[in-house]
Amino acid sequence: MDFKNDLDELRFSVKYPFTSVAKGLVRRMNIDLKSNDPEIVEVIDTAKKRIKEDLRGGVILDPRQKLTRALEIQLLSYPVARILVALSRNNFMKKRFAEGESNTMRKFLMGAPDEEVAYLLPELGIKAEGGSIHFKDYIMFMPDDEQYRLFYQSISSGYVSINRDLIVEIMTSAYRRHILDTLSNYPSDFEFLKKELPDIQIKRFERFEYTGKANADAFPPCMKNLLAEAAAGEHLGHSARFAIAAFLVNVGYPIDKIVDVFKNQPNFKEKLTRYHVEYIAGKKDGKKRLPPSCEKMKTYALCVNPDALCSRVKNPLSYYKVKMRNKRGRG
Amino acid sequence: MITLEELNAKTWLREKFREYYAKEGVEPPPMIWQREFGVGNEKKIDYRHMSFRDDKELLGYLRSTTPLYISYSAGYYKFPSATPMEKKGMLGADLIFDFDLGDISDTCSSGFPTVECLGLVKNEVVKLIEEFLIPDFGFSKDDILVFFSGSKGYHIHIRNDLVFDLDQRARKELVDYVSAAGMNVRFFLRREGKSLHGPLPSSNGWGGRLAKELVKVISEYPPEKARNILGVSKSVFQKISTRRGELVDGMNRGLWDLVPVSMATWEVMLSSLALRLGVKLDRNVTIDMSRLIRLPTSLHGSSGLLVERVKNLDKFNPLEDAIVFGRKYIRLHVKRNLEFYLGGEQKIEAGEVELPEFVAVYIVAKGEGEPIGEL
Repeated sequence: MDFKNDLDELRFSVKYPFTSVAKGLVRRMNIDLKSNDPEIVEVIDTAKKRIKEDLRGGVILDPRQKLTRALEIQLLSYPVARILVALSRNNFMKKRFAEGESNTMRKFLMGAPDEEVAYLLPELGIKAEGGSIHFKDYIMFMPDDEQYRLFYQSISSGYVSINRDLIVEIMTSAYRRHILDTLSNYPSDFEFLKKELPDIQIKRFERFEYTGKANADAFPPCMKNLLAEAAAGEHLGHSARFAIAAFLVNVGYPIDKIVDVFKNQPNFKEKLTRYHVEYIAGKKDGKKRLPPSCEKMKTYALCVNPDALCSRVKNPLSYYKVKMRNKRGRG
Repeated sequence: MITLEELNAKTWLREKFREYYAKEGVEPPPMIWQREFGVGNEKKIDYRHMSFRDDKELLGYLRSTTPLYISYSAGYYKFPSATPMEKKGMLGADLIFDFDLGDISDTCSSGFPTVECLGLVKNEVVKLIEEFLIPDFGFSKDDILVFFSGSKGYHIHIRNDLVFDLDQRARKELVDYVSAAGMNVRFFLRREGKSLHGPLPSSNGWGGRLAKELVKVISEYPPEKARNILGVSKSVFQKISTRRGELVDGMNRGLWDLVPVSMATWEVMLSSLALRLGVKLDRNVTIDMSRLIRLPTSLHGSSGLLVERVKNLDKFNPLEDAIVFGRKYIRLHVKRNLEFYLGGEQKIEAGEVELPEFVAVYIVAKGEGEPIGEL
């Protein structure tokens, strides 16, 4: 990437702090986070603010800013925020951080010139050729909507040709994945920053408070997995949401509690979720929907860690019923 | 309950397998220490969660314990023998495509597999490679390992860095793509103003594939066959057929409504074509990353045939080429009259007979006879 001047390079790095250019700049600044320098204090404060903004959906950055110092602080807040989030060992926070940071990048990408996008693709590990990207990156990072499925794309010799908007979506999701993968290591060199953690701790919605008659121990592995993913704020696709909602409806969870299951979803909208759950519960037409069969769960790639009982039942619901019957029989 | 005869038959069969493994061995899979193994004598898999440190250990096992079936994982694990599954620590997996007679045609799914039926399965394998893996996904021939399954089908293994870390969702996307599973053909057509736009026959991917086939079927096939393929009524087909010149003309320019055809009819025709052009295979094997698959170069307990690497698919006939046992005569009690193909037409009458070893092994493996005296 050619830059007109240092300021240009710095502004680019604020927008895309994951690039080798930005990492090079940060390294050259050679800062000591242990010092009490007012600039360092400001960097750490900005990093904490950044995390809070990420949890709300995205960072507010100002790369057009003229002051070099203000730009530098924005840039430095990224690696520091990463360290803090990694130190927190809170998976929910990691996911929200990755979501927020990648949303922020998406905003910059949408207005970016083509050569900037082309430059960033390999930086995100995406193999690209002209307007096409490699099918592997496509299927790993494509959006959930049906229209984006591979069938409907133009693919040849391993490359899928897609428009700018879709490339931006793929890059966003690749960046989210990249952040999550690289945040998994615990940065023990920076334990001294742990004292900052109380400022960023967030309350997360408790999982499965419901202690009515449904017994979560007796849930099949696929449903346990979906509940764990939902609780961790993992983005669930349509079929996954339907499956878990229909399952919970049928084991007798109240609608409010089912809506709560989706509270950690990145794009949670209470009203819409309630509408869907009520539909599945048959509030509209008196028809309670059943969860998909095990066969269907397999084709949706939602059947995970099946155990011996799984092979004897046709529907996740029967698994639960058998387990409960056995429990009662013993108890 | 297993009868004494069956027990006898299985013991004899395992002895034959032992002789084979002692002489020929097996070709172990790459990274053998990261693979889970499963073996069986009663069922295809009686025990799983096994692992072998190296090639020698696997070979030693086959020569001493000699199971009738041995399978290994497409997945690579940190701890392949750990249980439950999630403790194994999956590192990645090969990409597998599984073809079986049962997925191709109902008439082929029972009885002894015939050359014709196995030929139908082979056509699907060729379709996957020539129409999808190479042109669309850009795999090279060297990436694609084809194996005869040892019984009624074929397996394709792709082992490289590209597929290694594909997750379950990505694998599903791939297998849905090649099989057209869950495809909604409406997405290929879009209304712009008053006109209906669709893919050109020269377009890449499924859009072009469907358009090209449609043009071919309407312009080249005899009317009755064309109508059957497209799955439309006589009157609808009549309308399309009489104006096919115009229709094809428009499609070559991406305009799909020069001849008025209802959206419902387009959907019927394109869906029928998708079904025809999609590869028929067992999707679950590709999606399920912890699945165990027959070990290449091992023997299959239901046939005594070799799970053989197929180098020249065109010429390959499993009922000739996967035979490993010899022509020494074996006395056998055969339960009923049998007619099948194996290294030539075989016609065998029920009762006591003497048969070449490879035929005897095949019949015993199929549970249709027991050896006499040779133990």
